[in-house]
Amino acid sequence: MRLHAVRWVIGLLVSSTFVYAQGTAPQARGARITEKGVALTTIIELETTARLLAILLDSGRSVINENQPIFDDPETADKGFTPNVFEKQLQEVFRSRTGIDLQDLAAARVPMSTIPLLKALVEAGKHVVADAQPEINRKGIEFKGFIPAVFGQRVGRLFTVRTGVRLKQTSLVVRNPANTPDAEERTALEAFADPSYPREKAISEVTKQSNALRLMFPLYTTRQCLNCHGEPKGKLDKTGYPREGLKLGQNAGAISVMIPLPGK
Amino acid sequence: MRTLALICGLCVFSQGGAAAAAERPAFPPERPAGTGVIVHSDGYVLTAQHVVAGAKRIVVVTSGEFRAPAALISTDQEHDLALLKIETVGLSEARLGYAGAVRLDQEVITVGFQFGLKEVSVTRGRIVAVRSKGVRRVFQVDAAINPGNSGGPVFNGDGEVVGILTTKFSHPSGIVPEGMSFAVPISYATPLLANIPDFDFTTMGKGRKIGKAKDDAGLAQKLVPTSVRIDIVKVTESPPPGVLPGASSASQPKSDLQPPPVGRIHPEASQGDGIAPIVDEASVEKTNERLKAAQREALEHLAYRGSVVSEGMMALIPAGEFIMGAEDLLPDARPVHRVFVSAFWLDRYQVTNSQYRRCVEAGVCTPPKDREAFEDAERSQHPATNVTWSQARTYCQWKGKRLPTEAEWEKAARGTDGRRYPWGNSGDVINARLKSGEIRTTHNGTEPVGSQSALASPYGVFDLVGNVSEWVKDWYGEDFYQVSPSHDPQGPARGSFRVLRGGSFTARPLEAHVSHRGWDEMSYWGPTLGFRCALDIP
Repeated sequence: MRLHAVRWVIGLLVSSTFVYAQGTAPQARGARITEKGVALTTIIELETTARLLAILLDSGRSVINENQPIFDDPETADKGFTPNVFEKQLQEVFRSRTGIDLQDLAAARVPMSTIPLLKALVEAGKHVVADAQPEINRKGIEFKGFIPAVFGQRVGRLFTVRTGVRLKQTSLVVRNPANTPDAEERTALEAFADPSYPREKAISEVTKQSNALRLMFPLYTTRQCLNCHGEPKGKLDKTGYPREGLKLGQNAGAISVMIPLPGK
Repeated sequence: MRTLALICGLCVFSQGGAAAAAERPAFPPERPAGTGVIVHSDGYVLTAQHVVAGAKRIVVVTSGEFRAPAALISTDQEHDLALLKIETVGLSEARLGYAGAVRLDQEVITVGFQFGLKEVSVTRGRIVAVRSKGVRRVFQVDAAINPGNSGGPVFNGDGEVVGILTTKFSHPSGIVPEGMSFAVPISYATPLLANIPDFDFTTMGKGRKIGKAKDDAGLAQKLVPTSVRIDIVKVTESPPPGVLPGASSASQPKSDLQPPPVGRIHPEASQGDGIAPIVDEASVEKTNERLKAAQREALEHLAYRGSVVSEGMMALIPAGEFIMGAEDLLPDARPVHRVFVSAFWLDRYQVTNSQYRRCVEAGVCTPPKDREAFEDAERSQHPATNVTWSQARTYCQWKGKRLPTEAEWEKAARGTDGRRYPWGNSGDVINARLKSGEIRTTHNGTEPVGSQSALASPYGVFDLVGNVSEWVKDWYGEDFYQVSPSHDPQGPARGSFRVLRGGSFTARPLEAHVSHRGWDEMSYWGPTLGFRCALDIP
């Protein structure tokens, strides 16, 4: 009982000092705070969407990468790499990387707004593969030039036209000038280049000024990449570009995603 | 990320050097570290982890300049969050919001103690961006944020905390643009808040109306008392005086933590000694000389830094390890363990009736529960008694001081050699005063403070045994010594009783031992209960 009385008295003492402190506080100015703009929950959904789109595009690149030996066959005309074969392999790679089954997106734990974009990206990939059939099936030459970077660039362009979401492959050292990073992309790429940066963790930002979500998803070299981008540095690869001298598993650029904010 | 933290650290702590302090003695004694927000009225304060990183001592200054030592309850380095606990009643807690509802371009209010100034500043801004990097996600706020704001709250328009200001999230370029500051969404604090007993998560973001704040100024004023200033003393900032430039050698810390016959005072070795003296009188004398030398050296060092206070009324207890507890007392004094206590000031005398009267007259303190001794003019120099723990604390706060911790009290009483009494190990002094099983001095009751110079501790602190028992800051924990941190222990985070130290005039021989731990309900008061105050070294 007595304890409570004491608490009360002290409380009174303390609060009376608060009043004093409030009196000396600078007066806040400005209009009544209003609620507008995009909520954090929406931003987190957009982040998820952007990350999944980046992984899906990179999964497509992996499929193209894995099939390079088949494409390089100069003897056989029909490589059998149809859009449907591509889709099957894409689903497999994407599921192994994210646990998400593209055939049953309704059951997957992805935001509703993400589903149409994922589907659109798969369609864009199939479209590009369909368009590339004459290249892939051309007889008489080994190297067809339908490599991951080319695939990624074509899919990105098509996807942007169809959805308004921009997908771009970029790197600190680019072969295609169109992939040159802008200022924001460059700073993220520099962060990824730090070997201590956690693997596959994206960097993203939504700013009022850009009114868009921008996400950078880091990529890492595989054995296939090193055929052209590995050692010995400077020696020309089969495309005629000097090799970059990258090592296995090293960060080698990123996929840049830009999704405009809803509304406005 | 690290660079930015360093920059911030430098802004805040660059004044810490001994030379700078000597040139500028007017610099406030405490090192401003940051801001925090009260998230529960039981004394839980949320702040940024980097604000308290490496802190030897954390002091939370609540509205009205009430200082309270804080215990670190939990930290989350990844998201730069920390939860502190202070033992202060009557706190205004902030309501917590739902971070998911925070909108881009939403207007927010930040409250903080910029540059560690005593004046709180309230600034407005907008959420201009949401950034993620690795596992961290932050709001970017364009309000005017400065060092010292770190750890402070970001409120939404309903006066709910939606974020905690952090500076550790840097732009990937490593450049810190102006007007750019970051806040950790409050949702990341959930695991920390789970440490608060009975914390009601269901109220988060429920938009309970905040009083009758009709306008914005009213709202801001409601938010100010929920924010606190956080001062810290860094581990690396003030090492024991001996190792700093200006002091003669590294002898102080050594002498202070080197008990003469090490083997004998070792906990294992001292068992079975029973009541036999642990160290002989000659070595007690030697130790006393050493302790006094250490104290002198520390004082000179402080004087060099220009921060000596009231040497007449307070004794400086130098930093160092000492031996706490005793094997041959009650189980709660076991095990004997080594504790490092940072340097601090302790009142040489117990607070007297006349001193306490001044606080009552100032309208801050309430009169003792029993006023007979208090109103007796003849006993004005006797220790103030019949005060509760809270009254004792209020007095110390009024003086700009605080109650000592249990460890600080014991260190001041027994020095470094594990002795039984402030004067050594001789029980003769006690036996000579034993009357009917109690220690009686000249009076049948209290006596003027400092009358028994023979009973003083080597540091020159009086009445640690005899006169009255003293309230100390800590909650009582019977088994606390088994889990006590070895560095400036602050006692258990919660409890039912407060510790009382030092045998009173009614003490039985056992209770006169410096390691004896008394305790009582914090609302208890009596004629044998007094207190003294301590003060941090800036």
